[in-house]
Parts: sequence; C-alpha cells; structure tokens
Amino acid sequence: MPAAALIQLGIAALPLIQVGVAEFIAWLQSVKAAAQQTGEWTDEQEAAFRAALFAKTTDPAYAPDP
Amino acid sequence: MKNYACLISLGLLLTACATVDPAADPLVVRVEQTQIAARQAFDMVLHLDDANRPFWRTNAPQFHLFCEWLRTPQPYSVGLVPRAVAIQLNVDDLKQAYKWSRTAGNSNALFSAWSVLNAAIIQTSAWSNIITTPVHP
Repeated sequence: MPAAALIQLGIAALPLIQVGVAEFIAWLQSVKAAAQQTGEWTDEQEAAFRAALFAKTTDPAYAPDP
Repeated sequence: MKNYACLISLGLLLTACATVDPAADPLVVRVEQTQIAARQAFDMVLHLDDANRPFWRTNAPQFHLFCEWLRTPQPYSVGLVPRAVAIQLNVDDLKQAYKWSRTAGNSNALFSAWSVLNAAIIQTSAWSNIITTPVHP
C-alpha cells in the first residue's frame, strides 16, 4: 500500500482510536519519514537505529508471557 | 481529541513521497524505509498488547498470539532476542554486508530477508485496526 494511502487510512482511524494513540501516531510519523527518505543512512543514523533496536531487547513489552 | 486529531492530520497530509537520490542505492533505501516503519509498527502492536495482555488474550486471541510470535526469543550473536528485533537485526546485518560488497549473492540474501520483514510488517499493519477496539467493558 502506498505511504500516502496508508497515512490517509490512519487519519481516518484517528477519531476511532481507543488505546495506543501515542504509538499509533509514532507509527504514522515513521511511515511519513520513510516516504520522505531520499538517501542512504549515515553511519550515525545506522548506529542510532541499531542502538534503539538493542534497547528493545530489555523492553517489558517485548518479553513473552511467563 | 478532535482538535488534536486535526492538527496531526494536517501534519501528516503535508507528506509527499520523495525521489531517491541518484547516488543512493535504491535497494538500500527501500530496505531502510521498511526498517523505519517496521520498528514503529512492531513497537505499536507490542505495547498495545502489553498494556492489557489478559484482555487481548481473551477478546482477541489471534492478535495476542501474533504478538507472542513477535516476542518469541530467537538466537542472535549477542544471545536470545525477541523475534521482532531479530528479524530487523538480520536485515540490517545483510544490508551492511551488501553495502560492503554489492554482489548478486548479497543482494539476493538481502532481498530475501527484506521480504520476511515486509511480510511481518504487512501482518502487523493489518492488526493495527485493533486499536479501535474498546478495552473497557
């Protein structure tokens, strides 16, 4: 699905959202950022991305059910 | 809430798909675009499910099972990591390998890993409609 269509769908869903508004908006913004990317990441962006990924390994939301 | 939604909508509508820089490798840019969206998409569904796991386990078991699938520990060089992270790290590693040596073998491996990530993000996006489900009785 093209990014613009996905964003429009997301905007239509915004008034209906009951939970996770902040995460949903962050996701829509990431779709927008991806659509606007023109070049390859710099080394700093790459390092920041990997650091953010590794940080997720200790996020309780990523831990499976006991 | 309506004013808030309108402001966000305005910001998001001012979006246009940019053309890829001629000096950039389109495969790398496409993979990185997917990586950006994937990280937030996984984050969204996993935090949503985590906010009230018993509710989702009972009322949307398939959604909860999908989240548990994303959480399943997978081996990586540093140890076990959640599948949602492992998929992204694998793609990133293969992207690095491709950037160092742009061979057909490396591009095929990157494309295969990207396809797996893309399939996961499509399924994740499909579950994003769950956010409209009321969680209070």
